[in-house]
Amino acid sequence: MTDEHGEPAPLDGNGLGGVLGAFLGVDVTDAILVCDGCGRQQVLAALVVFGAGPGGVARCRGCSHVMLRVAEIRNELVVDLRGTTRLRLRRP
Amino acid sequence: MPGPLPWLPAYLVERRPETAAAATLVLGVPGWPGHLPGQHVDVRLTADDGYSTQRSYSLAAPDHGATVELTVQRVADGEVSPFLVDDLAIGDPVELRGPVGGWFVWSPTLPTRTLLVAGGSGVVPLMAMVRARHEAGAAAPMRLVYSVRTPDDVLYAAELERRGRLDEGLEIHVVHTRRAPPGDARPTGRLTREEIGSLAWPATEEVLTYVCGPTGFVDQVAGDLVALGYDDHRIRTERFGATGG
Amino acid sequence: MGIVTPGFRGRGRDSAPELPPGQYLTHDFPVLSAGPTPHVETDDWALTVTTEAGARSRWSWRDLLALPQETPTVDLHCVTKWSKLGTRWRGVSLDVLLEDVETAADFALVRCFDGYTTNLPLEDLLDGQAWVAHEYDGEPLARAHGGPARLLVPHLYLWKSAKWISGIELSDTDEPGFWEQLGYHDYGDPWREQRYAGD
Ligand SMILES: Cc1cc2nc3c(=O)[nH]c(=O)nc-3n(C[C@H](O)[C@H](O)[C@H](O)COP(=O)(O)OP(=O)(O)OC[C@H]3O[C@@H](n4cnc5c(N)ncnc54)[C@H](O)[C@@H]3O)c2cc1C
Ligand SMILES: [Zn+2]
Repeated sequence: MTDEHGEPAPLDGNGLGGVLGAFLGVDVTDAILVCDGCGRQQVLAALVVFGAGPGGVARCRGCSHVMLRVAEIRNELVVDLRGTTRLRLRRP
Repeated sequence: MPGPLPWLPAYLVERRPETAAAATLVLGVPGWPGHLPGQHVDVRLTADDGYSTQRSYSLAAPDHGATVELTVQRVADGEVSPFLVDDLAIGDPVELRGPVGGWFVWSPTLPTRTLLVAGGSGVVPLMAMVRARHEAGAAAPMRLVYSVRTPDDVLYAAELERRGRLDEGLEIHVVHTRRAPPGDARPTGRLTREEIGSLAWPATEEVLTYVCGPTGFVDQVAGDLVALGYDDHRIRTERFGATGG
Repeated sequence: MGIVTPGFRGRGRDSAPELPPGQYLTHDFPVLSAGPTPHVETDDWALTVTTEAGARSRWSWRDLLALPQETPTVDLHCVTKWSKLGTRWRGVSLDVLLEDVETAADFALVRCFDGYTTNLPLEDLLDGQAWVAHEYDGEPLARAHGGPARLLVPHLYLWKSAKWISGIELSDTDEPGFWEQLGYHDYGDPWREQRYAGD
């Protein structure tokens, strides 16, 4: 998805809710994540998400650090969390 | 959410034109688990040669059992939206996955004031909130500020006008960016920070805010609200990408 | 396969001639990005090749343009399943860039101005198979498509053709890049449908 200047117009973490929910069985868009780059705390729904490539890339809204990478690989969901220091989930 | 989300077959029951560029699709979804205002679904379309693609669409109405409503605005040259607005035939299937979302959701039992700010088709999930408030007879005040290009682009125009007139504690403000209706005192143009400040409750009040629309619009409004002193943690946002302005 | 929606065709797809398995033909040039598009001025642009011994070679924008240029016309195959045929590029062959680089390395890790990385065997950058491209269809390469310059390795899936290339590290070990870390294929041959590790 691009805007009129051909720039990618990112989505946000709400858009990742479907694929994550399909595998995890719980909604995680309200999970709280702490950025490994700048320490900012934010809900998953508020992350900046680039979704059109081989997978989804979620970046910190403060410093643009890559916090999550998500891909559906065959029948698996793979989530790379190396940009996230801490992840907090509410009991469903 | 009652377990992993499967793809559910959904059948077009009815198509209601909303504007020249948008239509509401009423879909029958056997086994639909129910949903909350603000949630969306992923829609998957598959061609006969196996090619498939998916997009997200907000649920436009509160939970009414096994039918759901989506309002889709046509994006020029879009792959999915023109097909849904113009071509999907009554009785034909698509696949839905949902309901999706646990943060960008609203409940009529919330005691606080709710500020809704919509840009273009971003009004769709906020309309589900306006409708849910009406159906529940909820009393907590709600304001909708809806930015749209021209009067012809206003989704749910008649219903919004009626709700604003009849529902106690609900205010509707439509602002036009390109062309205003005759007699509108407001000059056309984008929603400014000052204007948001004057339409919203003071930042000192306890207000929960929902902002939805094209990414640029949401970024702008959320930034303005924070600059006006609104607490970042009480602003919920949902971005639709480049579309929907 | 999901339930078929009658009448749905998808965007601009033609009945495809000979395409790699699982691919569909497109006439657009979709922009796929993992992040914001970096603004790299040609004055600030440079390409650095680092060997396994730590030796560096560096080319400025002027250096790049002063090298012999080629104009490959190639087919592109994206792992997200679209293929685009007959795309026209201009750039410098990696054979030229690596000609005087002293190396016995087997692998290359490509680095980019936006932090993106991708890995591939060094031999796939050689023998007329790869370019640092800076023009597309007769115009300077648009930023959204990797301008000022991107890697072009059309015989592998397009995620290997890294946009906004800034460097190539040569190494004896194969270090997975941005998508390869998640489970995308280290090689990525579209004709063998090597989308994921193990394919
Ligand atoms: C959580 C969520 C909820 C959503 N809810 C709704 C909803 O309720 N109703 C609704 O109508 N949409 C909604 N959307 C947007 C929807 O998912 C699609 O993005 C939209 O329908 C366009 O899809 P498409 O296949 O028609 O266009 P695509 O084929 O995906 O893209 C259209 C093409 O046009 C370009 N383009 C798109 N918009 C513009 C623009 N404004 N200016 C210039 N170029 C542009 C793009 O770069 C792209 O190349 C929602 C999105 C999300 C993430
Ligand atoms: Zn950060």
